[in-house]
Amino acid sequence: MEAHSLSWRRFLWAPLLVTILLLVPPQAVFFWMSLHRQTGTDGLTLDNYARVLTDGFYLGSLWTTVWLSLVATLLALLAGFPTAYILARTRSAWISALIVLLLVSSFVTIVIKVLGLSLVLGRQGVVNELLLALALIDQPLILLNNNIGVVIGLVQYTLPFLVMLLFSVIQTIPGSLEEAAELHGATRLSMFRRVVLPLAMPGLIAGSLIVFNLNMGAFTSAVLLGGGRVLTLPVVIQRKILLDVDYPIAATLATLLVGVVFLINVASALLVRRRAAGA
Amino acid sequence: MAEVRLERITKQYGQHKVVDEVNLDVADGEFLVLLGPSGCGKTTTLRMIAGLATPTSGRVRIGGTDVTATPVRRRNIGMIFQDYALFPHMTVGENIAFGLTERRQSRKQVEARVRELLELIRLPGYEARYPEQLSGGQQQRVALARALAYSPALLLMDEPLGALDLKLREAMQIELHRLQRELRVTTILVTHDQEEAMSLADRIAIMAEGHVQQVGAPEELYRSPANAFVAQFIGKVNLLPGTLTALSNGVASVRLQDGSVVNAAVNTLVREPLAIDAPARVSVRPERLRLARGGAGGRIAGTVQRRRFLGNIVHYFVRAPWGQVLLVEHGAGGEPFAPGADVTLDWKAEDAQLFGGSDF
Amino acid sequence: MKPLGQTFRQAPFWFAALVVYAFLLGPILAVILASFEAGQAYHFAFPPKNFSFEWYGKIPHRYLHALGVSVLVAGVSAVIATLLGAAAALALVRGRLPATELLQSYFRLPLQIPFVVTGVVFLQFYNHLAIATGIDVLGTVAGLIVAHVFVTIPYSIGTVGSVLIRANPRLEEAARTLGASEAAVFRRVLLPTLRPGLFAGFFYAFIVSFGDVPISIFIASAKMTTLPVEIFSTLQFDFDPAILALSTIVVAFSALLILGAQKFAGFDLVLPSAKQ
Repeated sequence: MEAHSLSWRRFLWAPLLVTILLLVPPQAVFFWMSLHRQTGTDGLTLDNYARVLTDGFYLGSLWTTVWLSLVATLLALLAGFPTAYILARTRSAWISALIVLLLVSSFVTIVIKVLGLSLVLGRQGVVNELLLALALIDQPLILLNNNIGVVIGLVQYTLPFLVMLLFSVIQTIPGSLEEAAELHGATRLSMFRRVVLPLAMPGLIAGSLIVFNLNMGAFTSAVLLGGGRVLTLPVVIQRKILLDVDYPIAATLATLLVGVVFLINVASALLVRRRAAGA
Repeated sequence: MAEVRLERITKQYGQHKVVDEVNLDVADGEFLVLLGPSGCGKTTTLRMIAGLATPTSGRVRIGGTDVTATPVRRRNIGMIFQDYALFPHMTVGENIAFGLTERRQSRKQVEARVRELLELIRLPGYEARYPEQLSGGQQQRVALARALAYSPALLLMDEPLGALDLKLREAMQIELHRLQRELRVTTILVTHDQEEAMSLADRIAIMAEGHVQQVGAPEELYRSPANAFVAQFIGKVNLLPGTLTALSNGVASVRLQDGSVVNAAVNTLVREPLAIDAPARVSVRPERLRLARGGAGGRIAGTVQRRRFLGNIVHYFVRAPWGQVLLVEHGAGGEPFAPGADVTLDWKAEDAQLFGGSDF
Repeated sequence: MKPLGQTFRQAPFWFAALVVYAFLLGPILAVILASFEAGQAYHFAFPPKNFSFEWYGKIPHRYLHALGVSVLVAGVSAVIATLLGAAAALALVRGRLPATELLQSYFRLPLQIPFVVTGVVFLQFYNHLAIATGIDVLGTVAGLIVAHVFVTIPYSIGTVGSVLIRANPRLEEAARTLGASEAAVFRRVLLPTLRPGLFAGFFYAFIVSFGDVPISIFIASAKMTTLPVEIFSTLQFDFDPAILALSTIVVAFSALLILGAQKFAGFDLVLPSAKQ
C-alpha cells in the first residue's frame, strides 16, 4: 500500500516533461517578445505595454471583449439555468436523449454552427421572415456582422456546455429539499431563492467563470459573425500576426488578454470568499 | 492449514496507537472471531495478518514462518471483504478462477475446480453470470468460493455478513460454520456483532481501544468476563456501583449505595488491583436476578418501573434505591409484577462478580 | 399523473428549454436542410423545395483532403493525449505526491489560456524552432499534432482521474490476496476499470482537436489545413454551397462519435463537471 504509491509516481515523468516542454519555452519566449520593440532587437522595454494601454484602439478592443463576454455569459445563464433545472428535475427516458442532443450541439465545430447562423439570421433568413410575417417588425433586423451577431455566436459556443454543467450541479441537490420547502409553505419563487439558488451557487459561479473565460478567448465567432467590424482582442491579435506580422504587439495583447482574464477570475474568487465569510 | 501467531503487533499513526501490543495465537483449523466495537482495531489487526497493512512493530507468523515482511500475494491466504469485492467486469466463473489462473493451472483443472466450488456453495451452473446479476447472499458465497479456490492456509473475513438482512445473515452463518468444519481451514473473522461471534467462534478475542481484552470460548467469556467491558459487550449485565469493604479467599464484600453489603466472586482473570475502600462494581446477569414481593429477605429493595413481555421471557426494569435502573429477566411462567410494585431483588452469591470501579 | 397545477408551474421552464434547443439546433438543422437544396443555396425550407444530392457530389477535393488531415491529426493527438493524460492521472490520484492540488492546477493550464493565444504562441515557437534547428513543423501534420496534444491532455486527465477516484480499492486488494503480482493487478483489475475513462478522454480529445480553429489556423498552411480551417476560410471569402453538404457529413459523423462514446464510456463521464 504505502510502497505502491511510490511506483505510481513514476507515471508522472512523461506527461510532466512533455507539458513543461510545450508550455514553458513557448510561453516564455512569447512573453519575452512582448518586452521588445521589434523582433530581434535587444533592450527590454515596457514600451509595448505602454503603447497598448494608452492607445484608445486597444483599450476599446479590450472593453468590447469584456463587455460582449459579460453579455453573452449573462444570456447563457438566463436561458441555461431554467433549462438545466427542468432537465434535472424531470424523470423521463427522454432526458438522456435530450442531453445527448446537447452534446452533439456542443461538439459540432463552431464553423458549421456559424454557417447555419448565417443562413438563419441573414436578412432573408428564417428569423427575419418570421418576425416580418408576424408584423413584429417592418424592416429586417441586422443580426449579422455586428455585435449582436458576435454575442449570438458566443452564446452558441458556450450554452450547451453551461446547460450540461448546471444539469450536473442541480442533480446534486436532492429533490427532497424542495419538497420539504413546499411542505413548509414556500412558494415556488421562495423555494428557488432560499433553497435551490444558494445550493447551486458554487456551481453557478464556477460555470459562469468558465463560460466567461471561454467568451473572452473566443475567436472564430468574433471573426465570422463580426463582419470584420467587431474587433475583440482575439481578433486583433490574429490580425497583428497574420496581417501586420507584428509579433511584439501581438504578444503584448495576448499577455494583456490572459492577464485580464486571470485578474477577473481572482477578483471573483475573492468576492465569493468575502460573501461566504460575511454571510 | 496453518496456525497463526501475532507477537506484540502494534500499528501506530502518529501518536495514535490503533493496535497496541496485541499477542494472539490461533490454532490450526480453529475458527477465531475478533470481536469489538468500531474503532477497536480489529480490522486493522486482520489487515496486518493479511499483509494489507504493515505493523509498526511486532511479528506475524503463519504456519510457524515469519511473514511480517512477506507481500500479500505470497502469504497463501484467502480473504473476504465486507463489500465482497467481486470483479464486476468478470463472470462468476472468472472471479472464482482468478487465484487459480494466477497459479498457472491448466484450463481443464481450473474449470473442474470452479464447478466443484460452485457445487460447494450451492450455486451450480452460475459460471457465466455477472456479479451484478446476483443477490447479496449469492455474491457473498461467490466471494467465499473465490477465496477458497486454491485451498489457502488461512481464511480471513472482514465483517462479511454486515450487508445482509437478518434472515440471510443467519442462513449464511450456518453455511460458514458448516464449510469451515468441513474444510478445516484456519479462519479468522472480524465482526462487531456479539451474537454472530457467539454462534460461529471456537474462541473469541474481544478487542477494545487497540488491546485484546480477553480470549476464550464463548461460554467462558460469558460466564467469566475478565472485566466490565467484556461483561457488557457479551450479553446484558447489571453493574451495581459500591465500595469494597473486604476481600479474602476470592470472595469480596461490597457495600452498595443503599448501605447493604453483598458478596461477589472475584474472577481470577481480573487483573485490576483491588484496594479496600476503593470503588467497585458488582456485576449480575439479568437472568440470575430473582424478583419477589417486597418485604423482608432479598438483598436489595426496588420498585418495578416497567414490564416487557417478549414471548418466552419477561423483562423487568426495576429501580434500585439509589436511582439506578436494573434489568431483570424472568421466564414467562412466573407471577407478573406490575409497574409500581415494591419488590426485592435476590441472587445467588456465585452469580455475582466483582469488577473495579473504573471504566474497564 | 402530475397534478395540473404542477404542469402549469413548470411551463416557463419548458419554454426556456424550448428556446434553448431551438436556438442551438436551429442552425445545424438549417445546414442539413440547405444541403439538400439544389441550386443556389442560401435558402432552406422544410421540407426541402428542390430535394437533391447535388452538392454531395460536388465537394471539392481540397475539402476532402482537409477532412482527412483533421481525422488523422485528431486521431493521433487523441491517442497521445489519452496515454499521457492517463499516466498523469494515475500519478496524481495514486501517487500521494506533495502539492497534488498545485500539480492539478498546473495540468489544467493549457485550457485556461485562450486557444487563440496558444495558436499564436505555437506559431512563433515553431518559427524559432525552424531558425534554431532547421526543423520546420509549420504546415505539417506533426506541428498540428503537437499543438493539439498540448490542449487535449487535460481532458483525459479529468476523465481518467474521475474514474480512478471512484475505483474501489478493495478490488485490487482482493486480487493481491488471491496471489496476483502488481503487474497482474494492474492488467486484470485496474485497467478494465479505467476503460470508460480512457474512452471518454479519447473522445473529448478527438472532438476538441477535430473541431479546432483558433490554434490550427496559425499552424496550417495553404497546402496542409484542417477541415474547420478550410471551412473558416470559405466562410470569410467565398461561399461554396458544397460546404453545406460537407458540414452535414461532419455533423452526422460527430453524432455517431458521441453515441459511440456514450455507449462505451457511459453518461456521467461525458458530462462536464465544474472541476475545470
